[in-house]
Amino acid sequence: MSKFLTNSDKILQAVLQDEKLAEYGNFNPDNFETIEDALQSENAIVYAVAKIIYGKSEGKPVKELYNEINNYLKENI
Amino acid sequence: MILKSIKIKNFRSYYGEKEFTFAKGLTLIIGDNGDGKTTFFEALEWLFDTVTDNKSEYNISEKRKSELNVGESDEVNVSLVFDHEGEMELEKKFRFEKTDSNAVLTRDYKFTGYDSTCSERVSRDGKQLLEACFDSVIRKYCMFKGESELNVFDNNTALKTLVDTFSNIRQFEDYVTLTEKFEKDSDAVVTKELRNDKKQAQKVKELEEKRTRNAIDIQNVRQDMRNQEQAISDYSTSIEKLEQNQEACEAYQDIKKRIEKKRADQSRFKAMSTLDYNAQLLDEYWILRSFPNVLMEFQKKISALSREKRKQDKAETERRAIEKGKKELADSLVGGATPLPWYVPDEGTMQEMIDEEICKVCGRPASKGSEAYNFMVNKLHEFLLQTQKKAEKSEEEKPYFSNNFIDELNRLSNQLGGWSQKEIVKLATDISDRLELIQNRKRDLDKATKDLQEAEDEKARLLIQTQGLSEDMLDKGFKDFKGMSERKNRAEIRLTELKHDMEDLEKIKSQIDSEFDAIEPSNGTVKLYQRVHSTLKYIMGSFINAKERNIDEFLTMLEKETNTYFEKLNENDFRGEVRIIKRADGSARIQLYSSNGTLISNPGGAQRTTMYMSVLFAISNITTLKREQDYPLIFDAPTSSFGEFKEEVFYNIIDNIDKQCIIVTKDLLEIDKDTKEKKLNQEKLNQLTCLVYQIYKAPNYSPLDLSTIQTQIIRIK
Repeated sequence: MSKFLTNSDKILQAVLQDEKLAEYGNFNPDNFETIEDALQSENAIVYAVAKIIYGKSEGKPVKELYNEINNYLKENI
Repeated sequence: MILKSIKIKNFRSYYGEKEFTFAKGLTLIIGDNGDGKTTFFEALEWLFDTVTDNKSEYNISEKRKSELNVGESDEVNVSLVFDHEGEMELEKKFRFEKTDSNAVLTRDYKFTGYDSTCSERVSRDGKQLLEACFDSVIRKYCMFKGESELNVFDNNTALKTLVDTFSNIRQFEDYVTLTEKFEKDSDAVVTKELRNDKKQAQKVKELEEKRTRNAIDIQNVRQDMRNQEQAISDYSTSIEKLEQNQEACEAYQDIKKRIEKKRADQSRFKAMSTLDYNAQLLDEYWILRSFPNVLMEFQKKISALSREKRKQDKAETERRAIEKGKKELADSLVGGATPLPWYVPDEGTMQEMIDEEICKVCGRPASKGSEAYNFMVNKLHEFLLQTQKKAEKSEEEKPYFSNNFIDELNRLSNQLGGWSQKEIVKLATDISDRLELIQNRKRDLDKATKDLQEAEDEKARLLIQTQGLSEDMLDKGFKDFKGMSERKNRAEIRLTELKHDMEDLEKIKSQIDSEFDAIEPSNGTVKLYQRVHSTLKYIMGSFINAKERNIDEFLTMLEKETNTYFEKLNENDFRGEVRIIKRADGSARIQLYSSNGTLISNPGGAQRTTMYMSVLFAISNITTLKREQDYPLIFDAPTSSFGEFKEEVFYNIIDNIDKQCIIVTKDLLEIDKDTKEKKLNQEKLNQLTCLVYQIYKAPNYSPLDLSTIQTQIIRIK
């Protein structure tokens, strides 16, 4: 039985399917079906994308979300 | 959601309670103008209105209102039964009470829903139930009034709404905006740091200037592209509007030409049928029209007079000759002696001798009473007599007719006869011909006046039919059509040029970005900022690409579904292929292409309508797919541009499409040859399997009194 995908999951899948990003981040998009999967990832790009989608869907303030992503990337790339 | 039935009570022309049941496929509600088609549609719109609590007096049946006595009340009620994972009902109503002979009070507005999915029927808030089963976004793509509303892409936000509502992924746009902001903020940080790097400051400055110029150029080109796209869209809309009214424009031109010709005819015939009788009578001698008869009578009379004159003349001559003969006989002497002339002696001598009583001829006395005296008296007497006779004789020698009047008249008679008479006889023919010609022109004038009136009436009818279009627009529109097409073509050429310019500018931008990325900062932290920025730029790009892919996938799916329906609706007809074209401003337009890639920029009315309806069927199908629910499509008069043949084909196809569709229309009506009234075309209806209602105005209504109007319904099949 296929998993129920939220709108966020679908956005994640669509974004990770981008070949240039996958090449840049060196990840396999097929390994990440849901936001939950991506937030568990050690791949910084995958995690950052998931964090953006999740933060936005949760209604996190833009500034706060930016700082969070920026700091994460500074530490992990 | 499948509609099962609707009851409409005292809603405008729906006096009393009227109920329609709906088929799962096609339901047709057929009626002529003013029979209640749009009222049916508006009753549904009123029921589905969740924004206002409308209990307007305008919605009350005038007939019902007029029947109420002061203090009495009734209700307006529209209730809809439908299936949505079980039977549901929506009921909207309000009461109205007559408070005065001309006033009503409306009250007790209620919008209630009933849910029968459980074992018992549960009452719910109407708005909530409606939004849960048939939300406003879906409703927007389910109900259409007239042909003009069928194009769902007629506004710039339509694509976004459709994608958000029906594509795989919603609200992608918001995520793209967010990542664009992150990239921009990160870029600002990097640039600021690089600016402070003394080794790279100059290079950064140069690149920043380039970037600013490039950004301005891109902004300008983008704005120009938007303008051109808007111009193309505006021209297309105008051309479409002109085309929708092309028939009316052509008909107007035809009528206009006829009116001009008939006016010219009218003034020409008027001039030709007008005659100055005074001038004709005197200058052209029409007054002599009866002369030949008068002349004939005149000639007869003159001839008779002449005859009489000659007769009398002759008789007089004879009489005079007789008289002369008699005289000569009487004057002859006895013995044949020659008498003295009567004038010797003269009168004086004779009188002297008588007075003196002496005959001075013989010298003898002649006393009074003597023979000699008597002789002298007689001689004087004879002298006087002769003198008198002489006078009488000169009189006798005068002609019997001293004047030549009759001869003159005779000469005149002869003069007037002959050539002149022939000329005047000919005048009668000329007058007759001329009068006949005038009579014919008068008949032509009457006909031209009648034709002109008919053409004027036709124009008035046309203007009524094309409500919203003035005479000037119909006239101007026809002339503008060519110019507008040319302007649209120019805008399209300019847009293509701008797209190339934009591609070049994007390349420059990319090059500037690469040069920025290639700057080696002295500070390690800045290098880290650069990497973060690059990452965010990749992420932003992937969000943008994903969004575009999502839209493209949605449009591909929509196009595919649309063309499936478009093919069905245009069976046995040239149809081309529907494409939904994305524009620079994020909107989209439906366009028709030939299979060889040529844009059919001006599809015909029926082709355009089937194109838009195919998109609607496709959206409805996608909705069913996404929501796992079917929704009805409800159209009010969607096929007014269809010809009779197209209309027949259209209904036969819609009849076989597996989708609930309710169409209120005046199609499938025809004029009865005997009664001249409209009736259903049974032959065409017999070909359909769908449910058909006929609606009509109850007879004996007054065209001036709204309170006499009531819609009647009959289920035909």
